Amino acid sequence: MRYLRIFLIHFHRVIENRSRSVVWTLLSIFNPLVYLCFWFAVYKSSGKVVGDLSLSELASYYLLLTFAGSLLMAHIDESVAEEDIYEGGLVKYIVRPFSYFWDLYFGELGWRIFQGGLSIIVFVIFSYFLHSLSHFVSSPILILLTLLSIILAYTLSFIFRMILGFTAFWVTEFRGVQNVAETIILVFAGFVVPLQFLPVFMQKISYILPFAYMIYYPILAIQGKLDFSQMVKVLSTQAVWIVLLSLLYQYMWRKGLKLFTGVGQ
Amino acid sequence: MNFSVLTAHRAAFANHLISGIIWGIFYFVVMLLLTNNVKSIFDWSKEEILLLAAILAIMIGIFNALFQANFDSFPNLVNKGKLDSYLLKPIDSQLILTMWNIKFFSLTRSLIGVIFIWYLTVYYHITFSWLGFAYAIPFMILGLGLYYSIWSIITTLTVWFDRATNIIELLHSLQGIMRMPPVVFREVNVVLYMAVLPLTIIAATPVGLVLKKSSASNLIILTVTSIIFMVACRKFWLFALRSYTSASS
Repeated sequence: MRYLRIFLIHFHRVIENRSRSVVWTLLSIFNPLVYLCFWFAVYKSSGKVVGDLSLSELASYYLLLTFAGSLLMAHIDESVAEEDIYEGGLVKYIVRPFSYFWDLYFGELGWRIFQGGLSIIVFVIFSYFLHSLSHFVSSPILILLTLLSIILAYTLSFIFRMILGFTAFWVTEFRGVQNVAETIILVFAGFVVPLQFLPVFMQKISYILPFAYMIYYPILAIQGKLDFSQMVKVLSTQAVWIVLLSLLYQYMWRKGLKLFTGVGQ
Repeated sequence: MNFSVLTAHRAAFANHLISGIIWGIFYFVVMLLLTNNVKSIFDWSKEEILLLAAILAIMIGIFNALFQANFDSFPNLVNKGKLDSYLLKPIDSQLILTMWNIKFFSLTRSLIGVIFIWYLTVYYHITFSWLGFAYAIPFMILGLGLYYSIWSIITTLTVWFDRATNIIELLHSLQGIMRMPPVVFREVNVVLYMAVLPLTIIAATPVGLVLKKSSASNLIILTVTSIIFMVACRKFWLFALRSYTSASS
């Protein structure tokens, strides 16, 4: 109940700053739509199937990417690093009688739900014009597993972003770390091209890293491209990553707090 | 003055320099990944698309060095009511707000663009005329003028939508459109093509000149569009100033 209230308080803030949300949503749909135009032109020009995906499947992938990018990819690292650690805003969270992690988790969830909702509108409009609504998961059990995968994907991306933000305890300039992480995420989560379009060695790396489990596999799950056993494998991998990153989070939180000074650093 | 800032904050400079290199390399990695399974798109070969990306990187590096930091800080100046101090200075407000800070580290992007052109000539055996490149320079400047005008018009919108301080992030995404040949959008939808036309001609027209693809009409379209946008951005700025009401804007 306490966290529901926290969520609602944050959600008020999200509504208050809706123009920012509109811009963020536009941002998350912009690049996928440009890539989609690129592939449209490639298919029209060559008349061939690229990388065993039909144009309709590719369109469905990029449109779902706009939705997944808005709903699942947390953007908490910058405020954790700059507002809470560098400017000392963390002080107000430490003295509160509830967890810093869950406060931010539910606060960020409000932004994700609002922006995810906006991107659904965009998704439906473009899907209608591109006739790519046919690729969806339909079995009830797989729908449930897909929903679970979406929740785990958000949690995974949230914990990763928190850890990224915590690097500010040790480095004086967080932006460099953030830029490196951002470029890796964009390539290996499937934001640029579907992972099967990557060179083989990059595909292998992407299956080891956690980023594909934040975006790429949830999209495949929504498209209904994963059967039961594959879904279980994806969910297990997501769970393992969440446990591993949670342990790292706890370690960095404990060590980082010892370095933190209330006036900011 | 800007050079003094650079030498005084060396750690920040090094950090920005590394970030610039990372994003510069990433930009080409994206283009290589996109064109990995592609031989051509209509009359643009894979190598020509990569050359477009390389020359665009040179142009963007120059733009970012001269203007980007100024545009980045503009929405926050409006949002926090700090624009007043600039408006009171005895110099043109638009000029001072868009050219005050010069970020030399952004030129790394241009340098990476030059290295990538060398890579294309060595490994992809792309050939082009250096004379054509020289002819293209005035059109690159026109393209930068057009790009500046688009940034200026959109950031000026924050005078009314002062909470949309993240609008700058959206402007960065425009580069995604500029690195594609115009034919990509023309073949998808004519309305879409017309909507993104000003962005697609910024780099594609000068690169087309280098590759002997741009016709006289392409050059005229870029020239006329640039002039229209530059005049429009100036008029829009003056109009916006009348609506600016300091901290309560």
